[in-house]
Amino acid sequence: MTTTTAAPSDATVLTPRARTVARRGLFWAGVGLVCILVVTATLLLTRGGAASDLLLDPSSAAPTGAKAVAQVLREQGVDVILPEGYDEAIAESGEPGTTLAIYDPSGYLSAGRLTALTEQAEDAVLLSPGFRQLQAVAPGVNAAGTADPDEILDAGCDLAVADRAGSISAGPLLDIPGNPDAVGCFPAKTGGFGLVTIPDGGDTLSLLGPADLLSNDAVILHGNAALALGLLGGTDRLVWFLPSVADVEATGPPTLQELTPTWLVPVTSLLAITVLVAMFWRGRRFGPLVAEDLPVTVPSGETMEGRSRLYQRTAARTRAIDALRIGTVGRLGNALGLSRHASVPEVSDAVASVLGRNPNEIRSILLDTLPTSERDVVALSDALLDLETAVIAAVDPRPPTTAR
Amino acid sequence: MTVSGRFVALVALGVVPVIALGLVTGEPGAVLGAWLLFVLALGILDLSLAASPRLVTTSRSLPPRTRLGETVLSELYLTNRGRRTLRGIVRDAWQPSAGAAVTRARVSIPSGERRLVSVPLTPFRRGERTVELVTVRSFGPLGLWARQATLKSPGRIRVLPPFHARKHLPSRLARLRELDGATSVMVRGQGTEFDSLREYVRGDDVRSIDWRATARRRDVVVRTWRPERDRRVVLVLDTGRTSAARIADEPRIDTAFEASLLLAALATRAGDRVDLLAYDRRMRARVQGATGADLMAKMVDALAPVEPELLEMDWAAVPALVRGVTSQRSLIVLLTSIDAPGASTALLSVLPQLTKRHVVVVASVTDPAALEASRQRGNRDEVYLAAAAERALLDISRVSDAIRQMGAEVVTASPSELPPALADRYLALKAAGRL
Repeated sequence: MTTTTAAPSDATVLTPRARTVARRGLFWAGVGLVCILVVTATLLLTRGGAASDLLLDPSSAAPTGAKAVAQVLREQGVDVILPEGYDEAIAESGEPGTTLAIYDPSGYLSAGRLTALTEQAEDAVLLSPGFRQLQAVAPGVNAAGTADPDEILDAGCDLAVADRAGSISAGPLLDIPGNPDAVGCFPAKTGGFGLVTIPDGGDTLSLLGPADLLSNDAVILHGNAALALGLLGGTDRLVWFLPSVADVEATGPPTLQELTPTWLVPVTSLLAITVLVAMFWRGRRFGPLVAEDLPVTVPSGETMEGRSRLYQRTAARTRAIDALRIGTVGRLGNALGLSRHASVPEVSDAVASVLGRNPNEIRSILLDTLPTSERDVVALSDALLDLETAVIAAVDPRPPTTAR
Repeated sequence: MTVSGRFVALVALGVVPVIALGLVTGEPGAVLGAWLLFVLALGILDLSLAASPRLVTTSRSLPPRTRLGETVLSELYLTNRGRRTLRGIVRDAWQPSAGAAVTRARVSIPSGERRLVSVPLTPFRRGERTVELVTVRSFGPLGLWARQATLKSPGRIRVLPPFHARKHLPSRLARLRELDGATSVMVRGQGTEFDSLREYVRGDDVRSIDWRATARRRDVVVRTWRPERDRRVVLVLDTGRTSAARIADEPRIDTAFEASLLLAALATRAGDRVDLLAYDRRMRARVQGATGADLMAKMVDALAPVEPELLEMDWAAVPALVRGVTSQRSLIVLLTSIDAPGASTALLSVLPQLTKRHVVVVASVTDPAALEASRQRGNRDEVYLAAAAERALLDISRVSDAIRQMGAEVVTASPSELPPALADRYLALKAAGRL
């Protein structure tokens, strides 16, 4: 077997070139791009007018937002800055010529942070300040309930800003029992003021009770707009800060995040990337799979076993024992040299005479007894086997061994 | 494109700079990004420096055929036509049952040179074993990334039936020589051929004295006889549904191959002409008009790719096929399975057409497990199994009786016994001058 066959030396390359793959993928890449564009456009179109959940959000055009004021201020040349968090707010408000507006109805800012912010900024405006905020920045000013919503508050003071506005909508009121420096404007019939300003050196701290007047909904009423522009547009820059949960100062034991080393997340990401690379390494197929037709495998004993289970399940005892008897009778006939066509009684009689046993007994084993139970079947089968052994021993021409 | 384990290790090694430099700079995330960019750049560099696997040409050197169970060497030559040295791994994609010991080999082929990849094959299935593809994975100098291409490189090797039964051949050939007239044991009889005249020696059969020649030569002369020669033997193999059954871990069809090979080897030495047909509903293999060593080579070659088909054997077509092969009286050997009477009706219905003109032998494998099961009667389950086995044996003996009644001979034996049994039956027929 040394014959040699050489395949054509010009082997064809089956793997497509990277260029071909790219060209083939171009269509689907285009389809994907179009899909992404469509989804993005749809999102932009549908989400563009969606209201933000935040109250007095300067970027929200919802009725509760404050985009109108912010937009007008921008048009007037005021640089409206919307800081993302406390750190940015305090950094932005440090610059000279900055007004800081804080609206924190949920009280996320701690007293210290609030104080720091108001002190940092030149002018500060607290919109609807709560009890704790007042405690922190203006200890002498108290909350004084809420005015009748139908009431219109008139300026009632000689502050230029208030004077220009004339009248504003009512809302939460502030009282100034313990602060002689504070100036209250827009007094309500029930007592208390809508706006309180506290001069602090060159800076001014304004506390506006009915902050809702800044909302897109209410800013067009009365002199709301004029007050808003006057309060917030006094300087070239306005930092409009809406504190969120992220600005809550953490207290108590250090969190898990503080305890974990800084490199933990990068290292776990690196391990995850390594696992992905390893999967690619092990999963990359070394060429296509090789197909091969395999032959059918048919175990030959299947029908035999199936038939035996069938006998057993249907308790076909007579049929089973008949099969055994036919086999035994055939072999006995052969051993005794009878014709192949010898009948069962003939074989039975011949066996009886060879073994010297009662013909009826032999006949009952070979023909007559009908098995009525499983035990009978096993007993009969044993008897048939014994009979066969005995006959073969009896007709064996060799002398019996001494052991028998 | 693919990556190596070395590249995975390199990526994992990034843990060290991410922690160490991360603690120093305080920006472990940035260090991670930088490391990833670094390994990516290394990988791309490595890939761009790797030799192109597309520029490899292949050629094969294969023995055209081998016997089942023997080991041959498949040689694959790879020529690097590119300008860079190719370092990488080559996969020779043989079919699983070609029994390739190793399918992957490391190679390093300098530009313009040729290297040999030899794979020892020990096929474990008969038939055509093929290989279509060679995949080359070429690593860059750093061994990080690799280029991969699959090249078409067809090759095939024909795995011939093993013919284990040839161990029985010498003894049968000796028996055949005994039949030869030279040993003067032949009796006169129908069908033996007159060979020559020679002087009488003591021990010769007096009935073989040729009185006319004795009268002419004035010496006692006997006729000698030799076995008939130039008879036809037609082997018909059933490759239908039932030939797929495995008996004693050998499909019936393989036993039939062994038996037909032994018989053909014996018959061709005895001077007979052997034809072979493997058939179910279509002709699967046919060997006609070959003699001597050529016959055996053609037979194993023709039988090698034959597999059992999931079809019922079309016995009705067999007489016409046999008529197509020979019109003279021949020995027809049907290698099939004798099962239940119902399944053998088709065979029984065409037998008379064959036995009218020819001597017919039906050879079938019996299941030694059935015989064993009929003796095993320890418990209830075994008794029922024994009953089923007895029933199966009874069915076989009934069908065998029916076949004998139609004038055909029956040879049944276990898979290892069938080939010699069939050869013995052939010798017996020859000795009796019935061919």
